[in-house]
Amino acid sequence: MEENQEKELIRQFEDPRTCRKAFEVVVNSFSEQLYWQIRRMVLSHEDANDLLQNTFIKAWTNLGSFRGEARISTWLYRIAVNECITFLNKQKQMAGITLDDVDGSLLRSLEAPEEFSGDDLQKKLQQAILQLPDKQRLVFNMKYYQEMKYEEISDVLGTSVGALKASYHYAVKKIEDFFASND
Amino acid sequence: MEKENDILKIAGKQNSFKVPEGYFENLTSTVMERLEDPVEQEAPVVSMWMRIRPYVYLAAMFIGITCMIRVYTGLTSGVDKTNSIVEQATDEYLLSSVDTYTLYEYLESEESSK
Repeated sequence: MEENQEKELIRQFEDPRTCRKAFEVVVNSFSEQLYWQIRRMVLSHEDANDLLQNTFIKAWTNLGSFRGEARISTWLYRIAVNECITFLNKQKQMAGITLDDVDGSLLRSLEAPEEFSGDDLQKKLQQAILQLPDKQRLVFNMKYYQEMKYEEISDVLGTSVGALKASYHYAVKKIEDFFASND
Repeated sequence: MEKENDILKIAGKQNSFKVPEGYFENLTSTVMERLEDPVEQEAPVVSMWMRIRPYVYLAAMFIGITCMIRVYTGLTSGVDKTNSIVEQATDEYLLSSVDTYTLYEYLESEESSK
């Protein structure tokens, strides 16, 4: 989204008569990329859809406090990332109570034909990504699949560019090791 | 990056996740339907008491401080008054206990010492 268009949307957010229409433009522009970022974290479509809706509801509820200090995409990504981390932490807490395996339950999504159509190699790559810590997984997905710049990821996660480069480097190394040990 | 190229060689970046048919076409309208209109949201009712409460508390605080200052200064001036009464009484008692001759003698010795 161009800077001028963003400024215009932020101006429209402040007017109750135009804010809904402006927000609709935002939803239309960012829903798909946000969905894929969330989906790659939670794997299941149903969970990704719920988290995406929650992201936009939270953004809408807090629209009054958004003053354009960050880009709209950065602001939405931050909310989406928080939603994902909260969701995954809740799952881990639940797994602690029920003695279930979180990674195992996430992996089951890859087995369902209505959720995943990739071949064995694709499935293996997703398994390799899944063994990464959540934040490293976020960094890897943003850089590798979303092709975001380190500066953009830094704005979203509040981590330095140097630390992000290191995190991505370790993630790639772990994925390679996973492939090497599962050949 | 060489390692990234290795991964690209192995699996590539293709998206193998599936979504229900027409999901993205209807996504914006589905999201927008779930959002409440902020214009329709009623502003929270603020009662008259809630509005004036801070000023009442502030006024009460000033009155309290003023009363405390008054009580304190009143007590202090009372002590001063008592002290002056006691000093006056002491002087009168000492003068009454000294006769005129002794007093005259004392004044004369004071004069000669100068």
